[in-house]
Amino acid sequence: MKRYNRWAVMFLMALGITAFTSSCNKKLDIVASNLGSEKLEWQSISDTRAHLMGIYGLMRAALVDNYGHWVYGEMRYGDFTPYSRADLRVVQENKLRSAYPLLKDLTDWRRFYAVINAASLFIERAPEVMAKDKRYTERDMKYDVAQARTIRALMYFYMVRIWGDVPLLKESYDNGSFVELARSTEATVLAFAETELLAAAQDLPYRYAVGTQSYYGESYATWVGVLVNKITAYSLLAHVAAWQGKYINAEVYSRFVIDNYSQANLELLTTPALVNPTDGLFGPSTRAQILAIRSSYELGEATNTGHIESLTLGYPIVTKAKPDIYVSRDTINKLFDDVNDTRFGIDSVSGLVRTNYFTNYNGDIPIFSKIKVIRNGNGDSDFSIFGSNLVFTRLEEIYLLQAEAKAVLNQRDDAIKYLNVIKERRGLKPYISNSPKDLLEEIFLERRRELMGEGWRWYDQIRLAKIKKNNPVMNDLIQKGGIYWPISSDVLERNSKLVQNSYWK
Amino acid sequence: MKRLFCFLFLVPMFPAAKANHLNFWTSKQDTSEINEVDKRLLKGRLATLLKKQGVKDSLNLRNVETLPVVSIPEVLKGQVAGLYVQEATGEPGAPKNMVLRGLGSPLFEIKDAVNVQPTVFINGIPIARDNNFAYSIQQYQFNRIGPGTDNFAGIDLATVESIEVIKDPVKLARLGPLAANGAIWILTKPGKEGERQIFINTYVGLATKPVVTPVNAQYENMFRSIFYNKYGSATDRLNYPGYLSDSTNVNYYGPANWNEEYYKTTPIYGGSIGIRGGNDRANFSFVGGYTKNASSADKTNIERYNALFNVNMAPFKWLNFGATINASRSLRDRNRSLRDRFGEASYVPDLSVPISPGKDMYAQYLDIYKAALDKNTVNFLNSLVTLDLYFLKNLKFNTSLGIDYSEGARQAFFPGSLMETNNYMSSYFGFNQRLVYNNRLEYNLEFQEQHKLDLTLGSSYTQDLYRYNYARAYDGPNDFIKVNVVDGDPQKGSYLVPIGGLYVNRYSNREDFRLHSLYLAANYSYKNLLDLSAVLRYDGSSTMQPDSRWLMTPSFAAKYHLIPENEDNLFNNLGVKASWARIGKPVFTSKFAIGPNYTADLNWGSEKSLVSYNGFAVASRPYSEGWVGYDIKWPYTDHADLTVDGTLLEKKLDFEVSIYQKKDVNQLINSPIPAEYGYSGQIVNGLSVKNTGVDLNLSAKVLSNTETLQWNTSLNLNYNQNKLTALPGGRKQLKVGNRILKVGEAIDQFWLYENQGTYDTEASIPVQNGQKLQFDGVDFAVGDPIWKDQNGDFKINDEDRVLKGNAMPKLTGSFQNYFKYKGFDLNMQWYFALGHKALNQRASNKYNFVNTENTNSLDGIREVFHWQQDVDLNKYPIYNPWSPIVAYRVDQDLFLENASFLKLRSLTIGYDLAKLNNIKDKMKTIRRAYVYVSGTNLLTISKFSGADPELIDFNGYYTGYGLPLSPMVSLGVKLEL
Repeated sequence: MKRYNRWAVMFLMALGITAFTSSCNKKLDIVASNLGSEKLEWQSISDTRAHLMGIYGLMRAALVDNYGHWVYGEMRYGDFTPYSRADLRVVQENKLRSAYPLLKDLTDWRRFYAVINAASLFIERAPEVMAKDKRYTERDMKYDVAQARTIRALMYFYMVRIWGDVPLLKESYDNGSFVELARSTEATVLAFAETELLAAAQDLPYRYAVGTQSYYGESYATWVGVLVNKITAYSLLAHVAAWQGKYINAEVYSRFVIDNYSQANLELLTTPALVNPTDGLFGPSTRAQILAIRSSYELGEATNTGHIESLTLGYPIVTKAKPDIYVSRDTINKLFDDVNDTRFGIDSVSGLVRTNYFTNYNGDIPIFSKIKVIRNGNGDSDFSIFGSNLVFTRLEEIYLLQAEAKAVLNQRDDAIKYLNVIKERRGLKPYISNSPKDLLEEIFLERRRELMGEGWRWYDQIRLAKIKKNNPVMNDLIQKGGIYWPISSDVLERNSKLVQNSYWK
Repeated sequence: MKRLFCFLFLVPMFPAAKANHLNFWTSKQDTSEINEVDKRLLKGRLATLLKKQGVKDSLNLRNVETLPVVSIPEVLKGQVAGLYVQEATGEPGAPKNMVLRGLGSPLFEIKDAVNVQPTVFINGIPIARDNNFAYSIQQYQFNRIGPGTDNFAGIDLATVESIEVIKDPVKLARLGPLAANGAIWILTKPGKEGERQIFINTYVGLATKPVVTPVNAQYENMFRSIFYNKYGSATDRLNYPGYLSDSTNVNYYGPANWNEEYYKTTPIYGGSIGIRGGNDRANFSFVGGYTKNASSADKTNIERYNALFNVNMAPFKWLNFGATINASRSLRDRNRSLRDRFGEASYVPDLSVPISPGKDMYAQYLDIYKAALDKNTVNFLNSLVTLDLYFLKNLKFNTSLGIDYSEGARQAFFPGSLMETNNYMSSYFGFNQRLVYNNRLEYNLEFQEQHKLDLTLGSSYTQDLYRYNYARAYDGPNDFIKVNVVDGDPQKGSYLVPIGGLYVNRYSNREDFRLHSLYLAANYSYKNLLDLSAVLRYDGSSTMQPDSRWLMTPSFAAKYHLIPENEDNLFNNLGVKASWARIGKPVFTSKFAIGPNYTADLNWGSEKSLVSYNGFAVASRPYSEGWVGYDIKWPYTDHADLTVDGTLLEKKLDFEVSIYQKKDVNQLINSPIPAEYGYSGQIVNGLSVKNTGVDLNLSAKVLSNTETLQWNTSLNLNYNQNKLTALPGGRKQLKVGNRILKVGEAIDQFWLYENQGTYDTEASIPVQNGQKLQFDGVDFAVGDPIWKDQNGDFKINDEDRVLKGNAMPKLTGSFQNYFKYKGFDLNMQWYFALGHKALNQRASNKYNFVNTENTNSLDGIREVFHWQQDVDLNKYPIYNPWSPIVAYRVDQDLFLENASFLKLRSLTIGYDLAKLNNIKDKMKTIRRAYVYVSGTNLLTISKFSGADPELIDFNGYYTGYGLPLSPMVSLGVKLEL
């Protein structure tokens, strides 16, 4: 009996130990269901699509976080006035070192670099998929990589406008070694952006999934107005050039857009068509776009925050009593001096105030309601989630840029022609060449009216001041580097090679 | 096949073993007639199926059995040295935090609190906690989505036989990684042989109203006018809130009596009935119960039904078998605060007009609320099947299968009138499921009557699954459709399209965790002088990377009995024990196991719930969460403990002193990397925290004559301090949000500016080289606070913030006294926590009204209970609230307060009717008929200026949102027949 038991025990032990240490390891191999692993990613076209959309998604988050696009672009010495928010007021007054959380967050450039990193990673890894998945064609990869390059260049351009010199990373360095890099000059970064955009422009189509073709199995309607295209690349090229003062290039690039926009199904819009909340430029329509970042309500991406409507709308359009920011009656009257202006003016027939840009003009404070896509644009006032597109640039803007370039290059007649294309569409009297008003000032004034609330005002002020050198405040800021934003202390602490912008030291 | 074999590796052995043994036993003995020796043997064996740990820190159930509390943390509060229970709210059934022997890791967010909690074992099955992955879709993390019910609120004290708190390093090591933060060992009432026992408990009680001083708009107006008169500009005055400017508005300037509706004295009641009995071959126990607990505030309550069933059997001499099922169902009515509601909806409506302080208006609001639906259910099941096989008298094989399952469901609907005319609905279903499969072989050896050796070889396999499905919808067609209805026919075009144009967002997630362990444990004792024990473990976790998945950890202890059991000496016994253990700390997220990974990173600061771009699923690196590399290793904890215990003076005085050190080493943290790679940081090992402290237990039978007055008194104390010993990469400090970690400093400290007064005049603002002193680049102005320039660089910024005050108490404990005279007895518990601070966020929000109310955030919400004097207005200076430096920011020591307190937590007076002869005569079987009156939360002594120093969040912030821990009185009977 004793012998039997000893045998049994030893057998049990031996068995147990071998069984456990060898094969139970497998029980511990579980695939996380909520994450993609290195092994399973970059295998098929569904991966490339997810990663491509991921870049767009990151870009959306980068631009709308803390309403960045509008706070950077509209608030500093802008036409909008905060109603009661002190953090927005200090931006308006250019006191960007204040201690508000909003400013701390907006001085952090990490989220832009996330887009850049994702784009670089895509450019590096997408070729792997072509080797593995036959459905991923050369054409698709060309389109995809070109999109990633365009977005990466856009992010660099966007950051340069905000911070001036920024570190330039051309690869993802996706290996866990995070080397500190110093800032490259604005010129270097923009030169990189320009090269990238030029290369991408060659590869990008005007339209995706034309006719019987499909792109990722989806038709034209799915992609129109969503993805960046050839026109986008040239529009960005024009802006990169204009920002550097290279107006010869800016003229060439923007003329390309004007000559070829119809190939991308773009068109110039009348004011009512522009502001229509459902099928206007900002609505979730199948309208072609040069560059719009989408948040379709129908697709479940409409949100309560991250849209200009959250800042500008108030009662009666939404239930919120007062908007966070508004354009004062004085500013409106000063800017929209022509009663025939279809954006804001008095209707000569009915005698009523036009409401394309503003509502509640006669009320306590006017509501800037040019963009008001509540839900899918049809939503009622009681549920404030917004589905508007963030429109980075549009055809009217490029026309005005072309006019600006022509004016700088002293081609007055052409400049007037392009300016008047827009003026005419807005019901304004054309600019005549012997007008006492300065042409460039007039072009920028038209931009100020036309692009109100689209994140251009601040950069337009800088470009105008750089050309005219007649604005002492701006001249001083440009000279001292005060047009840039400070860099957040968090970013500085993470990279010892960075130094604060001199103006904000 | 191989896997199956592995999983049940011993099952094939059973038939063989059984068969052999059957033959063996049947051939040797007659099973129907067992001799006396075997009888005794069996008796002992059946009882070992559910085994106590035998630690001194076991809860004296007498101290808590009369208290009307619902969850295990509440039961344990103050009962055991070293276990600190934090109740951030008096809302019944809401989660509570427990910390044993100090924080092992810093608490930045509410989800970090789960990582420092001890594990609760019920009959040896570790209860799975709600996984905190759900927080990742939550913009506001006031509560976890779902029913938000304490995982331990499903356990009724009437079903509990014993509760032990395990701090002993080697005992914890034997329980493995799940017990790395300590363990609470609960055994339910097992079957018992002998005469059938019946017990019946019932109680009724009242949750009483707290005393508050309600105020109306006049008070608020006077409070604000000070600022407007002193610092307000003309525009500011123009923008003066409408509800305050019109003093004829009866809604705001009328009587402030909302409290009559908000607080109501509420009955609480409960009862349970139990029966147990059996013989030496089979026994059983059954307990069933119902409890309704409530708070007097905001109509919050919890209802619980529970049942326990246990059978133990010894069908053969070599086989013992036990099965236990413990189940409960809880229903909870939660608070109706605006913050929690809008927080769940992730929707910030217009908050400029607050609710009226008047009772009528508030009652109207509550009327609307009646159309709301807020159903929170938790079903909890805990079951264990355990089997002992005796190969030899001293060789036992135990196998047990435990299941812990708890599912939570929440249905919420809020009618349109509660949120800008658009209604909100959400439904949640989630579960935690844990399967524990344990096998162990125990071998005892005794030779020469001096040496005793116990050897155990064991394996344990734990498989967890956490899941949830969550959907929320806004703006339904009307207030009658309260659930999301869809067309379920996939053929139709309207398939799954919500009816009525609801805007539905759906989320679901799952997380797996598996842990496999092997261990070898040995205990050796030499006479009654020396005990040695050691455990060697080998643990593998599915959440670790394959090449570092397994962790080998040793532990050992030695106890020397300086004075063995002795009746005559001054010391009846005295022992000293030293132990040390290393235990791996489990990681409950699988995101590290695969190294560099991809996720959907679409969210921004104020938006957490996006799942697609243009309707397509997305993938990218986890930029917001941080890079995960390939070299992630097991974090672990090293426990060291030196304990002296003894009894003296004819066992009248009993003491135990432990000096301990707990090092939580190599923990994971998001560590900064250059921002130019897009990541918020990288997640690496390297955070180490050391806790050192002393536990003291002292109990004395001061008067012990059973004929006259008896008096037992006991004191338990814990002194603890924590220190950060290392950060990843040799870093000396690390900023995380609004906190900073510094090596060598405590991890629970606040990071604050030090106030030194106010800049009253222009001249008082320091100027250097023509430049005024600046705060983060903004000039100080009149009316700004003076913050100390700690480093003297003539700039005030983060570098001038200092670590100050601890959120965790330094000294905690309780003082328990028990008096007995004949049938009467009186039991009282004083509970205290000293040496910690709280940051008064509530006061900061009130003073910072300019910023909190104008940014559209939930900080600006004014709840109905904010219409009271809950902030001491004499404590704070008058700064300029419009100042761009945010004068009333919370991170300054102006809002730091001493949160030490002493409470009379409970008092019970009872009488045992069974002591009366005429009752005894009438009912022969009666063993106990105890009638009692008890009260809880009776008295608080504290300097804290808020409502209650206990109602502080996990991070030491006092928000004023905790429902009061108001006194409860109850009257009850305990019958044992």
